[in-house]
Amino acid sequence: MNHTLFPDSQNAKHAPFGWGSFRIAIRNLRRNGLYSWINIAGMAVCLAAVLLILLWVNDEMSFDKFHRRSRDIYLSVTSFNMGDRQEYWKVSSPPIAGMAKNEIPEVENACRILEYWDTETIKHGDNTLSDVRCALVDPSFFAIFSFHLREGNIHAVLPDRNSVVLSESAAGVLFGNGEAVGKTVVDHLRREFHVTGVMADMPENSSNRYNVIFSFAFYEALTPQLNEWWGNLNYKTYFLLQPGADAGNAAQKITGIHSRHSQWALTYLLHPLEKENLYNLDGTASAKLQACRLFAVAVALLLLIACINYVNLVTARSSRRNKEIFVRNVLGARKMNLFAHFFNESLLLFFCSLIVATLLIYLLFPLYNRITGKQLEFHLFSLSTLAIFGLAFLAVSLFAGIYPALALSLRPKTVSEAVHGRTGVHALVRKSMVVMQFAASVILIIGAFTINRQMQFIRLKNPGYDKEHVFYVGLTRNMQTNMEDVKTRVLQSASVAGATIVSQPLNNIRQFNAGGDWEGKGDRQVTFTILATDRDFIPTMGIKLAEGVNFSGTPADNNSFIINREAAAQMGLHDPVGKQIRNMEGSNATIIGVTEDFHFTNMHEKIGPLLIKVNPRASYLYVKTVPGNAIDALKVVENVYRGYDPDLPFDYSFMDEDFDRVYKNDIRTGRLFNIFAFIAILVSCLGLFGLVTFTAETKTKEIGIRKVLGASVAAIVEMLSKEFLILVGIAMLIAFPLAFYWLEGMLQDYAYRIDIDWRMFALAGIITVTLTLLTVGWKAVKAATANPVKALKSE
Amino acid sequence: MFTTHHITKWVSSPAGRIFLLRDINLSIARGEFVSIMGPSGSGKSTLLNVLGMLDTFDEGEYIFMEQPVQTLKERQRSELHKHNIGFIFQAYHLIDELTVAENIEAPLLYHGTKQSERRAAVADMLDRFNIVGKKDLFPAQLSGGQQQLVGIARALITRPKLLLADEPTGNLNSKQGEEIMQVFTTLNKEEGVTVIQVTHSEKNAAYGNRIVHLLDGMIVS
Repeated sequence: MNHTLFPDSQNAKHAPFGWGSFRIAIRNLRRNGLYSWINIAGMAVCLAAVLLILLWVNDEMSFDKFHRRSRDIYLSVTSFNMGDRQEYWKVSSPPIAGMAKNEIPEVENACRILEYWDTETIKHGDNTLSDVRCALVDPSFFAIFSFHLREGNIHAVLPDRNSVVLSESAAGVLFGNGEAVGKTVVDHLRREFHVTGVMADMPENSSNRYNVIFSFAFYEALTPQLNEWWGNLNYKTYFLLQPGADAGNAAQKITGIHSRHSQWALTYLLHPLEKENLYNLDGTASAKLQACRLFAVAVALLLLIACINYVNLVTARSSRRNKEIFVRNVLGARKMNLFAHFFNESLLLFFCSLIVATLLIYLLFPLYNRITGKQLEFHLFSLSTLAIFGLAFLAVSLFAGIYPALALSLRPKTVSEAVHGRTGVHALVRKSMVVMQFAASVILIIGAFTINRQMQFIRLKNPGYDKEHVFYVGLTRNMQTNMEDVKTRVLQSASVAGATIVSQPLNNIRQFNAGGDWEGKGDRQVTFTILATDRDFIPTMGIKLAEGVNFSGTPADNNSFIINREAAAQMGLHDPVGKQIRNMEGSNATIIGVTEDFHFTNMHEKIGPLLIKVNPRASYLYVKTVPGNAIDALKVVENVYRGYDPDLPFDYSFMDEDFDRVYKNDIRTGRLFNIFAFIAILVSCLGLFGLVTFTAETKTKEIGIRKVLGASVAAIVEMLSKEFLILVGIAMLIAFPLAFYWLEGMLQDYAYRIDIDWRMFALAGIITVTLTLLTVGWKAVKAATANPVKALKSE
Repeated sequence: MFTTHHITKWVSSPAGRIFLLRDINLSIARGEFVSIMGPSGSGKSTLLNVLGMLDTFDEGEYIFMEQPVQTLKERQRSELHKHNIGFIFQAYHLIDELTVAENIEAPLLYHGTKQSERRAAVADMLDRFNIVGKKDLFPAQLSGGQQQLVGIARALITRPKLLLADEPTGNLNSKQGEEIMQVFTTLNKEEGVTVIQVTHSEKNAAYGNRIVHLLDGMIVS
């Protein structure tokens, strides 16, 4: 007889590890279809989610690391004491860069960057680039940073003050496929620049992203006294240190230079470029890092849930496997053989899940990019993807190894143990796992609620002014010089309820002034944010005056300030109205009013001291419309705009939409977290469904007997679900304090934060219990209503 | 083959020790065919498990092929068992997930036998028990008698010197039972395999050349 019984067994010695046992594992998966699918689906969904999160985190971590010498590049941070707290700014005095480079041996190179500049559009012939993200930089820029120059001379990229370097896409807009270098472009103020280089578009994972680079020399020429201006913090400054140089040491020397030239007690710190994305200037975690950490928690919990699902579903069937283990034992299997046997099953399951997860990721990736607002790419065979898969595999096999270990340590040694099972310990482990799993889900749900509430709280927090029905327009130079006329013409419209001009967008005012002097100043160091506007500002924006009066519209306004409450507090003025302030230029002005605090930056930040002064020339026009007439009002403003500058694009923003843009990161974080919490509870319920199905199956006979004895359907449903509900209850008891502790810590990072609310806990509890009941109840009712005679017959 | 001296096994309960085996002195020579009889709960299966090293005992000595079993480490005991003893159960205990051929092959995997040898041995067994046509079926697709034949084939594939059978015909009808007994007799006579079977049936017990009666954990005759 010549049977080829096992044609695919490869290696006899290692057969239990080889293909043969894999084949049996596949057969097992197929035979237990429902369990296998629950297992694979749960694991795959979790793996896909974990991978997507980790890609996101990986992207955040990769910021600014593409520069050849990213480790040696530092952002110069200025720090000073401001009343009760220390301030950290990312802008430095203009002269410090050059002096530090000359005097400090550690400093190899330095570069200043002016980010806020008034170029709005750039034109070449009929082509207009309206999305201008420009910066004025020192020539050392391209030496320090590794932004690739496609065309131009690397050694003299910005040879003179009218040079400009364009990104590839900017050059594409202006010149199509034609040559850019050597051509001349014009900005909206009709200033001419000649293109001296084209650089590759700056990568998405760069903290600094510009598409138009001008020469800092252009700005220097406009501002001759710039290099003596020590109190003017307006320029991002980067230092390239010698490799291995001590940054703390260098920073001390930079501070030394500053104190030689300025009275102002200012400390310079060096903030590594690689940390710019994830850390605040004072070294604390930034909102992005906080989000990364939140997601790290989510990753850990999701992996935990997926692994527990696996272990649970396998151990649930262990009474059946008990016999198999026992028989294999009798046949001479050693622990190692048994371990390999079960490990192979885990491995196979993991690979099936991996395939499904990969498909899911490909399917979901466009959606994911839309949600995150990133342009991530998924390459299956990239190093990071494989690393993440490897990591997930390690975590899973560690966990999935628990079952084999357990099964082996409790391996039945006698026939009776094998038949009746030593399920007590297994059941205990299984129960603790369900508890862990649901605790993790509950934590994620509470986390999702809290995070969304916090984000919403900031978003919906009253900024202190009316943002509804207000839009704003950037003003052209022509309009700025005819401000009164512009305003009069706009206000003539019946659709316009009010109009005011301000120096910078109201949700992001970044002009600062340190110093000044007033009666009783003492050692106080107050750094004011300065808002230049007109007398219509306070009434138009609905800002409340706490004391004093508004500007009068007379020349006396030029010698008047209005401050906010925070400024009054920091200045130590109890009765500020009527007090004099001598400003940096040496002229005196009187405080005529104090406003209630309102937010003039991102609402994540604390409101700082604000000084409002009148300036008839400002860059933005804010228009408040009569509700319902926004379109008319827009037309009026557009007509006025076209009257002055017919060629320039008319661009406007509504404040509330702007708001949403500013907080879109928050919204995204919240939304992502919601999704992950949803996945967590879904997968947990999937596992629970598997468990209750199993329980119902093993208790078929018991249910049948009880029904014959007269038990009602309700009694049987209760019998089947009670155990799970108790477990979920215990899970909540464990989850609540953990969630409270975690969220309490997380909320500390926000300047304005919600209190943790017991209702979020209650809601999470209700959701979990409801889902548990639905999952368990459905199966339990099905089992309870089955015909008992059938159940008893099959035994 | 082996000798036991005063083997005693008990479980502790609040009411004191409950003896499962008491003072078992048994000596079985190579080539014997022994039947163990006794009422339910008399300790037949326990004794068989102890002899097969599937279970431990609390007192006494068990010398198996000149080796004192009670002093051996688990690993050594497992080796001794693996190479010398084949086990047959009343409930067959085939692995449901494996085919007939794979069930029969399983012990050889744990013996590290080469693939070609395994293949030959399995083919030999299938042939010998006339179940070649069933090799790709799963246990659930077989009748009880056929399952027990597979169980025997699996027990024999490692060529054990001692075959322990725990009510091998308990779940079978009398014709199937007779067939199994014929198999045992042939094994015993022609291949010199020592057979110990636990049975309720006088008729089956008569196939053996010696009967041990057990009552309340003690040998009574």
